[in-house]
This record gives sequence, structure tokens and C-alpha cells, in this order.
Amino acid sequence: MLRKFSNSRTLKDNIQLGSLSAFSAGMVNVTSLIIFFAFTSNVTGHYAILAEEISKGNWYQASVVFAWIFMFFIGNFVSNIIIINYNQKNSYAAHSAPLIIEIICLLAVGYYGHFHYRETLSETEIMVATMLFAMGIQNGLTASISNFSVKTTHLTGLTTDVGILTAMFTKKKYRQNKQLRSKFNVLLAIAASYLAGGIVAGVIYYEAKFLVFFAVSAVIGFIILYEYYKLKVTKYIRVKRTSKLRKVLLETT
Amino acid sequence: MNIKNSNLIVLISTVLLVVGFIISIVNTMVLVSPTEHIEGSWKEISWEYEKSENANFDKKISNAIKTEICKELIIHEAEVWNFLSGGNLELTSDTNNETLSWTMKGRGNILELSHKTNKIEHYNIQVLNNDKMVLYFSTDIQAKGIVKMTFEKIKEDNYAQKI
Repeated sequence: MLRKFSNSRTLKDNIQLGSLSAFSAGMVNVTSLIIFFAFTSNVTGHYAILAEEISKGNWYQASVVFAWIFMFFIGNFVSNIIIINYNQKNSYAAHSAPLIIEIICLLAVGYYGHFHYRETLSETEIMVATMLFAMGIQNGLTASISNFSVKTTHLTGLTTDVGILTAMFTKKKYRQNKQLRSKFNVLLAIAASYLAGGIVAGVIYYEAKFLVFFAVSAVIGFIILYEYYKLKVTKYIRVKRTSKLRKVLLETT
Repeated sequence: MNIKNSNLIVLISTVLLVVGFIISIVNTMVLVSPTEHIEGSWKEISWEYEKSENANFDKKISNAIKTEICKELIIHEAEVWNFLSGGNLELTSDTNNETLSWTMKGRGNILELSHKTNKIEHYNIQVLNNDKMVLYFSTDIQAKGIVKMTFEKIKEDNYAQKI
């Protein structure tokens, strides 16, 4: 799910990547909403709030919200700078590096929140900014490597697409279109995973508080390790096949 | 649009974004934050329903209903709210004095109050400036609705004189 890039991706790759990353995004968003009263996996609302605060003349709040939006932008920028520059050399490393940065950010929030958080407004603002950066990284990565077909934190667009596809499926010719059906499945998987992630995080939070960020990091870590495992298995199978073929060739000659 | 123009637009947009970010960071350090705004003493001016499920409901909240609403809340009936910089909130009235803890969440739009008993309440800060504070909260008493509490800042000199 991380190795393949753009058009070479299969439906299974996109569903796996979409589901797991949407699950973690749902976890982060719900947790930040419970703890900090701010969304961290999407910025649509922040644009509206930015406009509202500017119109009210609340320049401090407007500055904070602008900085949050910028952090989401920078997250997207950073992940794609890594992909663009290193994808040719090692696609697995290029796609894993942004996720490692995301894990570091989430672990930092979890650690600080659990051991040092004094519930001041400035701490809240910085931690929300860190999470928006992390979510920007994730969204930028998934959108980029899936040729923009998987956007795990962008549920406005997803719900729009589901609505459009549902309307299209009222016609038989669209229902029989395999590509549209696949897209519909990916979207449903993302929506369901996002919701499930949110519910799980909500439940974990009331038991473990900030340690929920360690659970989110574990989900993202699973994506990286699963891909590493698949990479090793594929390499092992290829080596086995080559040696077997070589053996057969040697015996025949 | 030719490539030269496109490049120029990309460059200008990037510069504006970065400059905007730098200005935002400077603003958060230079401007008065909601935390600093709220510190000090505030006098309750009015209680009224901002929104109610019943359209014919009188928006003004009577003292009797206020007392009933306050029974459910940790703020009880206080006339003066004194926000201290250390995170304590002193609620004073003619009959009662109470100390709570306060903190702000979100972008400074949520006021979190907590009681010794670990009971926590959240109030939406609708307006907060040098003179006025408006808090919203939901209540289930009488008619379900959003209660709007308006406060006026007690200037330091006046407060000192009063004491």
C-alpha cells in the first residue's frame, strides 16, 4: 500500500491505505475535539472561523487560526517534497518517511500531554498546530501516492463523491462500471474507518487520556511495518523463484 | 496564461503565505491573548435565553429560573467573577464565596471551569474584550435553550474603591 505510486495502485492498495490512515485520522480528530475543542484533521471549518474572527476584529484568534491552517499546508508540503525528491531512489523509504515524521509529532503530543500539560491556552494552541501538521503530512502522502483518489482527512469531498456516485448508480450503465464501483468501495471504506477510529479514540481517551496518541502512532506504525514485511516477503519469493529457475536451467544444460 | 505569469503567481502566493504565517506568530506574541483579557473581575449584568426550543418563550431569565439553573451548575449564583492569573476563579455574592479553577480551550473560545469535586463545565466565549464578556451555555431547565450571560469588567480603580 505504500510502495506503489499513482496509477500502478490496485483497489486493494487504496482500500488498505485509505482505511488505516482514515482510522488514525478519525482517532486524532476526535481526541483533539475532546481535549482541545478544535478539529485537527480538516481545515474547512478553520477557514470559516478565520473569516469570522477577522470580521469580528479578533486579531489574536485570527492569527492562531491562520497559523493552524498554515501548519496543515506545511505538512502537505513537507510530505510531498520528500516524495518528489526521493520516490525514484526508494519509493518505500520516500513514502514511509512522512509517516515517521507524523508518528514523531503524535508521540510528542501524547508525551507532553500526559506528563507536562498544564492546560494553558498557549500549550493548547501549539499542540493543535502540531496535530494539524501531522494530519497535513498524512493527507498529503495518501492523496499524492494514490493519484488523489484517497484523501483520508477530507470527508467533505468524500461525502460529495459518495452523493454523486449514489446518484449515478441509479442508472444501470454506471452500476456496471467497475471503476466507479471500486471508487465507491474505497470511499465507503474510508468513511467507515474514519468513524470507527473516532469512536475507538473516544472510548480509549476516557480510559487512558493522552495515551490515545500512542495508540494512533501504533496504527501508523503498523502501516509502515506491514509494508516492510510485504517488501521482504516479495523479495524473498523473488529470490527463491530466481534460484529455482537457475537450478532448472543448470539441470537442463 | 504563460509560464512566466504562473511562476510569478506561485512565487507571490508562497511569499504571502509565509509572510502571513510570520505575522500570525508575531501577533500571538504581541497581541493580548484571551487569557490576559479575561483576567480580572467581572460583574454579572444579565441572564437571558439566546435561543430556545419554544418560540413564544420570554428571553429574559427571571431570578427564580436563574436560581434553578444555577443549582445544576458549579458557578452557583455569583455576582462577581474574579479570574486570577494562576488559574483560580473566585465567585463572590452577598451570601456565598466559592473558588473554582479556570482554563481556556480551542483558540480561546471555550472557558473550562472545574470544581474541587472534579465536576467540569464548558462555556462558550462569544464576546471578550476590555469591557464586556458574553458567555453561552446550554441548559435543560424549564425550556431547553442556550443561556447568554453578559458581564461587565470591573475596572481596577473602581474595584479597589469598592473594597
